[in-house]
Amino acid sequence: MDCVERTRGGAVCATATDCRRRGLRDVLDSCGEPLAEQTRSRTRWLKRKSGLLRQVIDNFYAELHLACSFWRGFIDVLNRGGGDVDALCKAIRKYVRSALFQGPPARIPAGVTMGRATSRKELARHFRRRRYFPDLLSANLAIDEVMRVPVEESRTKWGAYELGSHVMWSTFDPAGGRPFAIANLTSRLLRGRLGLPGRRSRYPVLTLEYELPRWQPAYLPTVAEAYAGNTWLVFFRTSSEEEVDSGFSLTQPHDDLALKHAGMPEVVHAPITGAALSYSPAEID
Amino acid sequence: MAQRTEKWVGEGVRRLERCTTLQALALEILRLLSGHLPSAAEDVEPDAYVSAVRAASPRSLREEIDAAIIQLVEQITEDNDSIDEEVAAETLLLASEIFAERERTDIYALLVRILGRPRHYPAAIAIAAGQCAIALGFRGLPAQWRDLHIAAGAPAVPTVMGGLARSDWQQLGDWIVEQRGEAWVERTYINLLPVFTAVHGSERVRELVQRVAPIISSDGANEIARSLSRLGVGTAPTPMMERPVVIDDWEAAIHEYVDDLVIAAPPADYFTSMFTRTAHARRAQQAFLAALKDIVQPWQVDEREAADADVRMLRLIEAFLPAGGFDKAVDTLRRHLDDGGTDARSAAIADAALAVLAKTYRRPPPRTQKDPAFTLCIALLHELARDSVAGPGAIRHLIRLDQANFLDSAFAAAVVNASETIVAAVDAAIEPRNDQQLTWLLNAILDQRSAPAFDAFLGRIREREPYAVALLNRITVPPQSVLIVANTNLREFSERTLADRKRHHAGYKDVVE
Repeated sequence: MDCVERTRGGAVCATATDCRRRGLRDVLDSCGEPLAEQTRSRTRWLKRKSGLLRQVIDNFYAELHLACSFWRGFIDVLNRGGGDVDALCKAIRKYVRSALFQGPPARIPAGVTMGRATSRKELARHFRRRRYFPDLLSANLAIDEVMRVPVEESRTKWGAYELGSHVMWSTFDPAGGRPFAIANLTSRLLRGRLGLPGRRSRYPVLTLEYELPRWQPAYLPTVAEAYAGNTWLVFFRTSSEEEVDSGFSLTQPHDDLALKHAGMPEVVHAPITGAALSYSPAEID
Repeated sequence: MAQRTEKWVGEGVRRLERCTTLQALALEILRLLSGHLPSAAEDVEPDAYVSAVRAASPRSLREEIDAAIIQLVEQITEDNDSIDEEVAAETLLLASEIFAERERTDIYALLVRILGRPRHYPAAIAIAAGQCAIALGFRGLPAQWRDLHIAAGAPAVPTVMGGLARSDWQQLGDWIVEQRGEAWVERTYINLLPVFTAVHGSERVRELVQRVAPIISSDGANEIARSLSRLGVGTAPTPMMERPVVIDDWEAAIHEYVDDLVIAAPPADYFTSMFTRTAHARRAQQAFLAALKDIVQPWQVDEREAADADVRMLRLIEAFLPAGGFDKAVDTLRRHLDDGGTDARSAAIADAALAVLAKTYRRPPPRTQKDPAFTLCIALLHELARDSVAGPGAIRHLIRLDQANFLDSAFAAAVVNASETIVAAVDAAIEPRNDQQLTWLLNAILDQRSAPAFDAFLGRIREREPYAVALLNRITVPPQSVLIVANTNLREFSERTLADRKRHHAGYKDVVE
């Protein structure tokens, strides 16, 4: 398969950063009818399998901020898989994990506090999975302790612990304030505005606030980050051109909140450690 | 969301139900753990999904899932190349959640095989096996944890520390000192102090801190001091704890409680506090119950001794209801009936034995006729109803179980015979409220035509006023014209109750006399 630009008479994109970013549709238009038709047929087949997969495929088609090299690999993965949906999903997941952080670079005000919202259970399981703690009890007690101590001590305690796997999704206040300093904020509202799992969960949201290290770039999220995890995000939409211009994307709130509340700014970056914490972790009920 | 999740979990259950062999089931679980979740998947990690599917499965399938997971762990143990390293680690962590708090020697045996030769496995699998062992309450040998560190290196440090803390507290201190202040070891040690304090107690943590202090950096020492202060662990030695944290000999502890009359705490409080101070409360309770069962089996009331030890043993049985405890209480009461003892010693023992019966059957079982133990219990209580010592307690319990048959003239006579039994019967019928039993009791008293019995009945009712009598709104006393409590106007009744009762009382005295 050839480069999109070359088929249009331009130079071959040597690297992802050189590439004139195109969508899947453009790439399919340029790659010849048999392969394009096969790919379209595969995506139609996948879309029929479930509501989530329909949304996933729609998002892949709507994504306009990835290099054609990404799409070449994606088309290859899509057509190489057999009739096993699960195996194909795993292959897609594996592929996108190898192509993270290729979206447009984010523009974040210097020194702004970034925020990650998760749950205590998820963080404890993450710590255990990363082998920072021997069991969930230890992880939970450590979280309890860090919530009580001054942030300087939190940084020391978790200085070597990565606070996420593969990708960290982060929000921030473009005006420079703390990301979760929102009046009357409840866990349910925060989950809803961020489009987090557990729409009806009553458990508190655990917030991690940190400053992104200067050497750590952030990007607008693309389908690659959205579908890299074991759990494919339900509330994800691709970034628009306006969002690219503004330097950050917006979350997709839960349906019941979408009319009342705007999405919150979001970017993605590689996992950072607890050494970057700006405030001690806290829980929002 | 809840409905969608249930539907999605149901899809997983159906997928597992379609597997016809254990091997196929194991493969399907492995696929799920690899991230091949049903296509409508949302909001959950694969291991959490498998846990949810298992929880939603019927019991038979759940047992098969457990067996399949054991088989997977066995496969990981035997052939470490056949399963992806990451998926194998996920399987072990899933096993730790599924089998936590359950005695499964089969999975212990498999974990021991990994921990026994950790070098033969990828580090991720060896460490996950260690984490699984810790979650299951398996102590392991200090040498195994040390080997795990040698084989898996720095990533294993938290697991090794957690394992050594459970296996041999002294060796944990030795091991930390041997690491000569290695930064990751020091960091992990400091971060694990809260869990060490929660599980092993502040006294042991204080000793550990003193022991490893020489190899800890000055920053670390300051942080430890702040951490200990927050955890409430002083630097000065604290008085010895009341009980050892690790109790190997529960039989001795039980004998000590039974024989040491100075221990005034009720058995449930006394032993529960001991369980909570051990490293694994549930396991300690299981060991305690096994020991109690062994002690109860040959036990019987010793007539040559004072009642205290026997009473304490029966209170212990009442508190924990070990296997065979109910039979011992029944035997004790039968012996009491045979001996016909009326002294304080007999009364105390009979009272304690009745309490065991009452605890065993707080309410009638669903199918009373198919429960021979319940039938035996009721027959015994009817016999005891005539006993001057155990009678009140037996009647009280019969009424609470709704098994008092006042239509049986012998039983009615036994109840009406003494004021103590009448008082007990009134108490039991008023709280919880049982109008039918109260009516029958009153009728039995009238049938016996006993003025003292009637006095005792009304006297007890009067003592329970205003609450109890106010609730007596359905009891009528023959002849029909006499109504003790009017249902229609309780306020009016409460205002005139004393005058009315006096009149009624006098009228009844006329009737019965």
